[in-house]
Amino acid sequence: MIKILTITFSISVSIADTIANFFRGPGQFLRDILMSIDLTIAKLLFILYFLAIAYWVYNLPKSEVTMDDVKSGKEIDLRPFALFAMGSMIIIYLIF
Amino acid sequence: MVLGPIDYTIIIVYLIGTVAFGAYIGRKIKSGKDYFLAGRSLPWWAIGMSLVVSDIGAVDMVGIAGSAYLYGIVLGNYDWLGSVPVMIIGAFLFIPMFWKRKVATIPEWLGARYNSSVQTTSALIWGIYMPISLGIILYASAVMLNVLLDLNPKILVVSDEKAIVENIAHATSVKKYDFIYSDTVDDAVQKANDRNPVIIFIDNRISTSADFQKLFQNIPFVYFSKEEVSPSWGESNMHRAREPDWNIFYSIVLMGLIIGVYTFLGGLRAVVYTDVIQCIVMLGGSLFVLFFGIYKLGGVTEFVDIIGAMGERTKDHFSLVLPVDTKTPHPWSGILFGLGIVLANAYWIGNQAIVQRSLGARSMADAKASYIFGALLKILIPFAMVIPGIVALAHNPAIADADKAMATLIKTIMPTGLLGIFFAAFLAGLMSSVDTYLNSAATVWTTDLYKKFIRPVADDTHYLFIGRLFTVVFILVAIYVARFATRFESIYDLAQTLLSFFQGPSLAIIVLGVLWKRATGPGALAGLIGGVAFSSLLMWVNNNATIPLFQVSEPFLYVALWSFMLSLMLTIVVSLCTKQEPDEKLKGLVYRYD
Repeated sequence: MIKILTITFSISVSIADTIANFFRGPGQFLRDILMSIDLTIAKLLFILYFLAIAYWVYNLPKSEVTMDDVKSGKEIDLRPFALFAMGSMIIIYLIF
Repeated sequence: MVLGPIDYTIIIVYLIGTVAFGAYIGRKIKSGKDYFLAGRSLPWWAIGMSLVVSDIGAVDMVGIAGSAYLYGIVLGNYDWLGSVPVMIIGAFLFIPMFWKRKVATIPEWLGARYNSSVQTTSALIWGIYMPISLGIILYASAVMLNVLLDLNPKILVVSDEKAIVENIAHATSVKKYDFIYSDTVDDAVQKANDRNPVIIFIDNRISTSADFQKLFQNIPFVYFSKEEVSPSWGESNMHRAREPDWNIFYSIVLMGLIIGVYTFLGGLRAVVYTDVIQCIVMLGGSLFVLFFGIYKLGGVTEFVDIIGAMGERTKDHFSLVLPVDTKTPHPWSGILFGLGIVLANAYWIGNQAIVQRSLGARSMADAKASYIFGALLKILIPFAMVIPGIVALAHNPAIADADKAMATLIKTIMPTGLLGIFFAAFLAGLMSSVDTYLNSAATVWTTDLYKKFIRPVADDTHYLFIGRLFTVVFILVAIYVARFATRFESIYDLAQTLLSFFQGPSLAIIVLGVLWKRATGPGALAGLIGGVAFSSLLMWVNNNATIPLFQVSEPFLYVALWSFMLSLMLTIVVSLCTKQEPDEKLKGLVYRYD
């Protein structure tokens, strides 16, 4: 029984190693690229992501960003709130 | 943490109030639609608060502060990058698509967009995951409850060498017990009387002559020599320990019953409105701890200076973006791509338990506004959950177990009376996560499985009855699983890993379903099943290969990212090889295609 378990274990390890080696090459390549990116550039990527969403929100048609208040019937524009949220993100990531 | 009568009064009033409120709301429940979707009557502000509070469990309240104690503000990424942008995207793009279809669950929407097989597969994944997860959340919360309230059984170690405590902790079971140390007999007697340990270990270098039997009354004690301390020694001697005063199972049952009652009576409406109270209590309590903690340090400048003066240990404590090869589990690449692009979207757009409350909105506008309001509240969360962990570091830099950082901070700064408020905030966090999963599991099983396969046509009151029945069953299952989890603590990590297995693939088919007309049912099914299989493969290889595949200790961010990518590719390829869905079917289900 112990022998069977040992064989099964060693087979599974070698299968796992084979698959891992297959992925390791491209994985290491990607890792090297990411490692070469300076932290300031990385931070810029975060900020660009927020800017891209803010830009998308800014360009949405009015019909998709406004709502009628159920009680007053007044039209409320959600866009400024969304832009405020994204602006806050940009400020926070610039500070920290 | 020592609670006074005022604290207990606050806690009891809070608990009774929550159940009574849930029961009051439950009066209006007349049908399945009322129960699962609150009769589609929920306003944006209630959903927004519910979304935020459901995302923060009791485990997070303690665990995030603990991680922030160790790693700093980088934990804030999980709320800022991991919530705010994606909630904005969800508000304007995905949530209106789901709401418009008038579905009760995400699997139901997938069924409408793709086919019945995709719906059933997705429903089974969520239907199995959620009840198990419920038990694990209950258990993990009970563990945190014990940490916070200092309810863990105590072991007293009497020795002239403090380092021996660590050896004994490893020899017994570190997580189950708290250790108290004494270096003299007199001090040991005092501590034994005050803390009532379950067993006392006495170094035979201290004394073997004192009449300990008399001194320690009913507490068993064991003499030991430094050399004999080992796991087998720990195991054999722990059998002699007396029964602890408080069993963790009591916490599990108590919380399970309280949450079960109000969720059973009030359904989604009770869940959301009790969440509103919980959000106010939790945010108020946590922000109070933050301000009071910083005030006690002398102000923000002093707080930053104290952390800065700790040198190498805290050099990254105020950095949100950490290098790829950071020793923490939070490299910027995993955070931006794994969390920002996949897990965050999967959670806020594809997680049934989260999305369900916005499906109960009284209008599409309310559904959109709820996500925007939630995003605005989310900006505050790291100030309430993460930064207190760093404040705890400034107050007490030598806490051995980071999970105790929050409890220690509160004990250090909060006067009696205010402790009760914080403890109520902790209970709020606990209850909001459990009620969410409980109600959602009942909804998926009733809507996507029972209604589809067992009784497709019935009166709506029948589905109300079945929904309530599932609620009872699942809370009992949760209590049982929680009990089971006490024996297998790693089960919590397993549940988190399981979630990362299918979140990426689920997101891939939702994104393509909403944005790409050409995505087909067979494509989505291939993407979903293939993606889950690929995640499992990656995790299996990582755990079994001689050298792990991923170079970070908890690679769930990367697993989610790669399974998402593979699902996207599979869905696209198979969709292009299969017949396009008819245009009529796609109207209202694809973005800007009405």
